[in-house]
Amino acid sequence: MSGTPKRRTPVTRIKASAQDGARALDFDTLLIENARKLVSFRRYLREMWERRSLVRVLAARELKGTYEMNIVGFAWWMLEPLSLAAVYFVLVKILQKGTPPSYVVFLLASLIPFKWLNSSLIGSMGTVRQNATLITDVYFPRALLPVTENVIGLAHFGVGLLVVPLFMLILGVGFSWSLLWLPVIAAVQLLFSLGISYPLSVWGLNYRNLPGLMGNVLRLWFYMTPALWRISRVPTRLRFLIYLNPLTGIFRSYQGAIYDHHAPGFDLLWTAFIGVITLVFGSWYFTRREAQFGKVL
Amino acid sequence: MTESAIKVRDLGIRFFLRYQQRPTVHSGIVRFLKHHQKPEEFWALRKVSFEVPKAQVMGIIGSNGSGKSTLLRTLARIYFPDEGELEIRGRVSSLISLGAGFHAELSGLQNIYYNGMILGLNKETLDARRDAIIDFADLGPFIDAPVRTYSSGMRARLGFSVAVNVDPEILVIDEVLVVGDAQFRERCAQKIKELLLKGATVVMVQHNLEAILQMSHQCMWLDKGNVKMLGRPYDVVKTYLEARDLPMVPLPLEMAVPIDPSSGGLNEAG
Repeated sequence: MSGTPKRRTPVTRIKASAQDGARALDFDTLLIENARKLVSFRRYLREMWERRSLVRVLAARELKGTYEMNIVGFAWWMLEPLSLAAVYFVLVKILQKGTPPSYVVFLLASLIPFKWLNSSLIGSMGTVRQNATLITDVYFPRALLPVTENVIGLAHFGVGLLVVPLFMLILGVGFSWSLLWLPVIAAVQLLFSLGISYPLSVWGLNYRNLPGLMGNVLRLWFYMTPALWRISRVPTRLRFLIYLNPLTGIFRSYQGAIYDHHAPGFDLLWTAFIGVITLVFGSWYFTRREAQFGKVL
Repeated sequence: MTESAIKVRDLGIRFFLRYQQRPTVHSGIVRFLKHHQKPEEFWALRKVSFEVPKAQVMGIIGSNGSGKSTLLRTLARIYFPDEGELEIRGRVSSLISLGAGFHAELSGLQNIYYNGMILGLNKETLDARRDAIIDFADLGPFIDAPVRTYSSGMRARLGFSVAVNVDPEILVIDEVLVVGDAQFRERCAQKIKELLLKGATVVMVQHNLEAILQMSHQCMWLDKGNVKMLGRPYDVVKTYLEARDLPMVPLPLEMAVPIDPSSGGLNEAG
């Protein structure tokens, strides 16, 4: 909302107290007054935590609405990462003669996480509008919506990862203990992706053609990250630039865990650091803006 | 006097009539360069003050675009006041349009769970009330059919059944009783009475003036965002109809506030 003349949002002071039993909203007394500030951030976080089951509900609703939750549906679900692998397998065979077929595993180690990142961020930009009926009819902490998008992406990512061992077996990439790092890397990615999702979901509502643009920006960003290529291609004195890119840590760590068999390096720590910063600022920004959602929709 | 469940003082809700369409990225940049022309503002509500005592029904009438729904949305915390203040004591359950968060591809039963959880119930409570909700909706075998196959009346039934089973302390209803057949409407009225006996407070928007007379203790007439009249339902409805040269509606057999003036004022009615 770049044009809101007075950049102030009214305060909601909520006097909450615990009470058992059925609840429509988790507050017994709420006081909304005209002090131009939304809920205090800490209280908001608590409210989010209290309503955290909503993420599961919304994500499950979305997934169940798309896929049938049975064996056939699940097989269908796996088809997407499988076909992705097939596409790149053919590409590698045709375009890069001489590269070992196991290179596909290297590519998958980047492509599957990228799909997660991509779908979460693009999804976040549309999530407020998609849930317009919810937002204009029921109150709940809106900050749960981008979380939901990320969780849906995570579910797809998890299924996608199941395809990888299959290729590792077929193409003769060994398994190692470094695979155990995957949850840690995924957690860092979630942190970072969520941090960007928040501002994007606000802007995505306000500027309707943003998703198309962002799709390309994201892809550009991805190709500039050593994900489908090795960092060794970059001259040593320029490498620090690549390491500044927060995505570098994520994708290099995935490759390390799946293909190169080594633990993540300090670049992942850097990404985690950036992730915490974006998450704090992103969610703060989001909560300042969410009071507008009802009116914009 | 009983405690107020809702207190609203000088409430104002402002909208900006700014875009024809949602802006694009470049139109945003252009607007930024033009130095923020001040958009036209529009007060959907202005200087609205009222109180609703606990366990009473407040009926709101008014023509389209008079701010009725905006007021309900503000009570439900969807809009934030731009002016004035608002104090709400109790858990609010809102029925602003029916089936908020219904997913068309999922069955009625699944949607009971989703909608209930969105409204803030947990799974255990829903398990316990599932049958009551299904009974109330009375959809027969259709409860297992996807919601997309429902008629709007059936959706309304399902939505209403979930919302009233949330055990709201404050129920905010926007004209949903209009949908559904006479029998279902009767059951809704019955359910609202039950909730009132349990101490719930109801704010409802209604075009059905008979229902206003029948159920509400207080009536507010909103006109262009301002309170035109606030008082006993009979008086307000009468003035409202006189203002548009319409005959008075037939009085229902049972009225929340009897017309006999000796029966007392508003606040004793509950």
